[in-house]
Amino acid sequence: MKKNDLRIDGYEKVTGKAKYGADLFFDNMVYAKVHRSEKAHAEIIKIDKSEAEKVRGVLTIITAKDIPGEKTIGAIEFDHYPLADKKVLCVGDGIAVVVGETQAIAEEAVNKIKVEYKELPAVFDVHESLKKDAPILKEGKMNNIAVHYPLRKGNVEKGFEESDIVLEKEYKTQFVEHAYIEPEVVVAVPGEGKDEMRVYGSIQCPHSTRKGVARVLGTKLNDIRIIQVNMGGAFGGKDDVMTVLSIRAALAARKLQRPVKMVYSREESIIDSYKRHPYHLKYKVGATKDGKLKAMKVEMYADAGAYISMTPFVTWRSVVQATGPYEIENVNTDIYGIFTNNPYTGAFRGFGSPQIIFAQESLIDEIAEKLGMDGVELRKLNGYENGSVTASSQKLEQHEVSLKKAIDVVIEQSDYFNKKKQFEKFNKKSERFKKGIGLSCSFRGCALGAEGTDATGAIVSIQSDGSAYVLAGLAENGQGLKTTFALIAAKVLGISIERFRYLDQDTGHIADGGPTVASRSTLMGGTAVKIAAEKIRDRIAKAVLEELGEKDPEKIVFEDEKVKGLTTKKEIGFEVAVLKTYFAGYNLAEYGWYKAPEVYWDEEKGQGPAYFTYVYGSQIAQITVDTFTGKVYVENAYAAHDVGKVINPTGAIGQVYGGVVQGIGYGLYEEVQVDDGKIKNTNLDEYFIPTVKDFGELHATLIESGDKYGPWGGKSLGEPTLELMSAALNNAVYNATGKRNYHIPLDLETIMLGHPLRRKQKRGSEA
Amino acid sequence: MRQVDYFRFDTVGETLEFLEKHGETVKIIAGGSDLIIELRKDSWKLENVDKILDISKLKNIKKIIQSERFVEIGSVMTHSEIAGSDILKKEFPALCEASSNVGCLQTRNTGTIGGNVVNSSPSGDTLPVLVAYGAEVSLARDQGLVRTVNVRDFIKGPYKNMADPQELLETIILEKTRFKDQKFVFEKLGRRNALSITRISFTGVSDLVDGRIKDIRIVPGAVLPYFRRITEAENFLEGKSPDKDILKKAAQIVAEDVFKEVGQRWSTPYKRPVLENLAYAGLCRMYGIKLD
Repeated sequence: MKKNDLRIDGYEKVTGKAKYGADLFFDNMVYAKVHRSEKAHAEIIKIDKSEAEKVRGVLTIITAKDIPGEKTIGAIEFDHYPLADKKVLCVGDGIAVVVGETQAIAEEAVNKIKVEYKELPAVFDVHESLKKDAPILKEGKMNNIAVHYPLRKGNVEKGFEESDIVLEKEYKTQFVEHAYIEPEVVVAVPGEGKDEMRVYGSIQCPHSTRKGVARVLGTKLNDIRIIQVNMGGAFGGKDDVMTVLSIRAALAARKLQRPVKMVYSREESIIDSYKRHPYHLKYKVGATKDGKLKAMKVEMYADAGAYISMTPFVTWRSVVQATGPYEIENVNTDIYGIFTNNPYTGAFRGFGSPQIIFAQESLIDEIAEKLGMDGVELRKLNGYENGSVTASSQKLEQHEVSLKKAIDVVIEQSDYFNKKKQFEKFNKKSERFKKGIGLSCSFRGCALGAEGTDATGAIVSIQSDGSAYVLAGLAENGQGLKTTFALIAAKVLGISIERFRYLDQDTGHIADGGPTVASRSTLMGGTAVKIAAEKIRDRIAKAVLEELGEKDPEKIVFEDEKVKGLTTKKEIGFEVAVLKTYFAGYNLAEYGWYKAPEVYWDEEKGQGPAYFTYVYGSQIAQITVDTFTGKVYVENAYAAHDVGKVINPTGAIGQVYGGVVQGIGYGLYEEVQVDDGKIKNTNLDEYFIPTVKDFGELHATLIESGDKYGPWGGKSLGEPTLELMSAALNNAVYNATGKRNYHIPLDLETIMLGHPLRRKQKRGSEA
Repeated sequence: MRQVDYFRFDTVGETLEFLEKHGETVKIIAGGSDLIIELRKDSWKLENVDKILDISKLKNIKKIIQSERFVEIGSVMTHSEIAGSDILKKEFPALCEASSNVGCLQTRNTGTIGGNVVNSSPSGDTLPVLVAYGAEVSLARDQGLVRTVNVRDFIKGPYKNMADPQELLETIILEKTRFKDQKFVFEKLGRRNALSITRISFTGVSDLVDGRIKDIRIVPGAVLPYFRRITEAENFLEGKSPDKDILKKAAQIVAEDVFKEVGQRWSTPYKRPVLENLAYAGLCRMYGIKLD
């Protein structure tokens, strides 16, 4: 691929012509606002709409009573109420949707709704939630366990007995907000046909959203069209919540038969949307004195919040990857997803891996020290290589296990061992600043794995003048999918991506190819695009065979905007070849469909080939700690990731930079502060994501080991880039200060005092 | 967002006349970097407010004037304008440093020094510096009534000050220091390096004559409900030659003095040692003593 291919959607975005959800206007459009619960757990006794209805310009107020279809949604289990029915389960649960002629009218009226509650006992801590006297949050359940995944391999007790050293540590991670730059927005527009409804919006997984809208509106799937508009980021966060918005707006649009727009403010976004799961992780590891890891026992509790959402899939990835990229004979892992009355938790870039990597990669450094080794040495000694067997007894074969290569790259680039020595000297003398360096590494299963069906499609369509369309079932969320897919089709056909336009993302135009998640777009969607483009290529080859004097279509090559005969050396322009194919009456449009290879999981034992292929990566954080203030500054971050094959170099490097910085935020700054179920920091002035002034240099290396699967071996990159930084930072902080920490974020107070400090009373001033 | 009516007049006179009539229900807007947030949050600070009065275009209070003894800063001068003013860089460099560290570039381009003073936040970055330089504010009222108040006295507590609703903060008046060799520091700690509310700051200004500290002013920020000089530490340092031990001792006095007043709060276990550290680091930087 060329180095400087422009983004296919770059022109409209750079010029400001791209329309985002908030930019959309329709004739006769009206505006909706949501009244949300202030209570964490309560019965709804009465919803008093009378004062709100009196506001001039209020058109309707929708509650659960107005729902024609099912009252619940959910990708895995139907337990999530887009509008609270009889109960609220968390602060921020939507209760009523007020629609007004203007945004201001809707805002005025929404505050006049009065809800009478009967408060119920609530629970905000996973361990409290497991106690016998805890309130049961889900009807018909015996306890508050949303999901439990065990994994059993070998005999851990025996493994610990055979160990010379055993270390037990507990770790905690926090609620985290995606903080996409564009808050949630939808416009629901009633169609002309009976029951027809279109929803335009900042929607990450249009087909998932369509299922939810159809279910609640009580329509067929083909009555609903979800049209994705340009997205200001998602990071996994515009899935369930966008289904909820779409339903709320569509219910109102259906009733009024007018377009209904719903735009969230940042505060509404933070209150209404799901978060990354906080984990409580208990690790026990045993090793022989020469550094062989013998056994690992892991017990994890993930706060699911009020709804199950993606908790089963998130925690499943955790159970597969909990012991890290290390060969360990004896493993015993349990993860529990627990319901509480906290904000619900779901998908977020990383998806159950950042939590476990923070813990397990911190632990590896600690046990290495106890063994008198460097963490890198211990990782090399136990790390996966070709033919290694995972905790779920999957043999890693048919792809290059490049873990150690990734480690070597960052070690060399960062000059890790020399810096360690230099810093030790520096720190001995320094009064204020301490320098440190830390590493982490990971393996990651690509795509959905044994979560469920993994298949997706794409359309490539060549026009008679040689220009082209591409469209896929997976969606552009800002990650650069449109460019990558156009590049794949362009490479197959030997043409440049300037010929391509990307078609509107509309559930009516393309088959359901599953959600845009799990870093599966290039691997799965890219393969579907490639299949489609190859079908067209073969057809063109057949059509120009005679012209180029070749007998075997295999001898026709597509490159440099030309179609050439390999033996005859004859060539014609791509346009000419396309015209020939067109007049021959061949179809120049094709559907590509790709289904992932079989994977399997034994839910009782937690054993099986979880994913059909994996990626490997390693990151290093080089930091300066200000011991006067507790401030950690990342001087340099080094990241090496094996992506199989780079399709879009600029986009790929951008993914690494973005992921590393998001990882820095996760490790150092970010925490949604939840007090009795209520979020305290509801805007970005108090929820801190890193700015460009908060880190120094980022160094990204992409390793290309190829793969049997994926377009030319292209695999996953989006999520692995985020998951590693927090552990690297934690290890670097220890290296700098000699103090270990067991929770994130590593904020000012944690570095100074070894524990976080939280304001107890209501915010008045910072003083 | 709260709905309000918007007013703007071409002259200070008309502005004051309007304030005289409607002051109780008016909130003045200059840059808006605080007010817009309060409107969004429907803050308690806007309880009776249904009008906003824009003063950002009043030419008479958008300039810096100097006389032999004084520099007068118009209250709607932005932080960026202050940070870039040659007059201020020469006479009151610590103010330029504080202004250049406010929020982010966008905030500095719209936010004003008058706004910072009137908002009277314990985290306001220009306030400790103004107190260190002994600044006064002039408050104008209809019918030509003007009073000047020391910034130290003007701020009564978090978001509370002496301005009557009918008054307009016109200028900030600074008397030139006549220091021979001005030493200054503004140390600021935020949770991140831009766009963050100051957790703690430390301002120091002094003369250095024949290697000895003279006329030192020390003002911490974001630790007290208001701003004051730490005279005990100042007295300790006065006339001494700065070295690490002396500055460390002064920093201890600063922390002790502040937390004697503040008492034990949720943030004290962190803020107390860090204020001391920041004071020490700040004083060292002020006198060019390197700390690794």
